[in-house]
Formats: sequence, C-alpha cells, structure tokens
Amino acid sequence: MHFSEDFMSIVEKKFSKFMQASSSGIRKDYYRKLRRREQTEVFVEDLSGDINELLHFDKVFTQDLMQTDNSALLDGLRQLTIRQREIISYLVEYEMTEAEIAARFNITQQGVNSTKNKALKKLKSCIKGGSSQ
Amino acid sequence: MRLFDLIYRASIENDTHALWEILTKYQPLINNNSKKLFSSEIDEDLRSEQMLVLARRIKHFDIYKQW
Repeated sequence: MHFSEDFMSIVEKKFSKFMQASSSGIRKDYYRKLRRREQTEVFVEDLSGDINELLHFDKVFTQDLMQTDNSALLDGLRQLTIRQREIISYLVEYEMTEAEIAARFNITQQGVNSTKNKALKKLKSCIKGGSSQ
Repeated sequence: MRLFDLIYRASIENDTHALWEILTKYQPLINNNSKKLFSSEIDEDLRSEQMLVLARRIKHFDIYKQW
C-alpha cells in the first residue's frame, strides 16, 4: 500500500506523542495503584508479632503447623472459609495483587478486598482472644 | 527501517518483530519513565508494566484515526 510522505510524517509525529503520553500515563497509573494498595493494605505485622512467621500458607495445613503451639492461630485458620484461606494464601504466599486474584476467581477486586479484610479480622480476633486467655 | 513502516506492520499486520523493534526504539523513553521517584534507579516492575501495556496499545494504534 502506498502512503504519501505527508501522511507518514504526520502519523510518525502522532505516534511519538502517543508513546510519550502513554508511557507517562502508565507511570502515573502504576504509582496511583501502589498508593491505593498502601492505603488499603492490612499488614500482617500489624496483626500480631508471631502471625507473620506462621502465616506461611504451605505450612498452615501441613503437619508443621499442626505441631505449632499457637492454637489460637490454628483455630482462627480453621474458622476461615475455603475461599478466605485461598485468598489469604494468594496474597501472602504468592504475593499476588487483589486484581490478579479477582481475575483468577472471576470476582471483583472489591470482593477480594472485603473477603481479605473479613479473614484478617477473624484471624486477628482469634489471636487476640487466644492470647488474652 | 522507517518508523512508519514499523508502526504499520505492528498495528495493521500484527507483526511481533516490528512491535519489538518499536519498543527497542523507544527504550530511552520507557527507561526514563520507569525511574523510581526519588532516585535514578530503574524500577523493573514499572518497566515491565510499561513494556506490556505499550505493546498492547501499539497493537491497537489506528494510523488512520490518529490524524
């Protein structure tokens, strides 16, 4: 197909502008996404001192953790639904973002966020209840 | 090769090689926009995000619509 010189140079200019705008837009979106994540993120460290090392999902349902003396955490994990455990696993162990998990389960990101928050709240209350006993 | 040819091949003919060449050509821009906020270090996560999203956008670039 033959194009005129004018057409080609205009398209090239437009394309360069498009690339610049796209690239800086992607950068802005990336940092916006990071900020949003920081604001909504519940850090595991905030929950309890020892939950961090115990929340390694692979160990949670293996004999390793069954032998742990943190029965409060174990009880908490037992009380979670399968979906909650899966989401916590993907977030903590695989370090997936909420959007990625949402795509995997075919649900909304808000759904993932609320499930995560419910699960963490449940765990937190179990651990607090266990430590106060 | 002229940039226009690459754009045409990448967007109209879905030529992956041309797409890659465009991304290579714009590497300085991508690197510049992938620098961390308070240092000149390149954020690799941001860089790969840039490459992925730009590749997708270039594929959908409409040479007729843009002007």
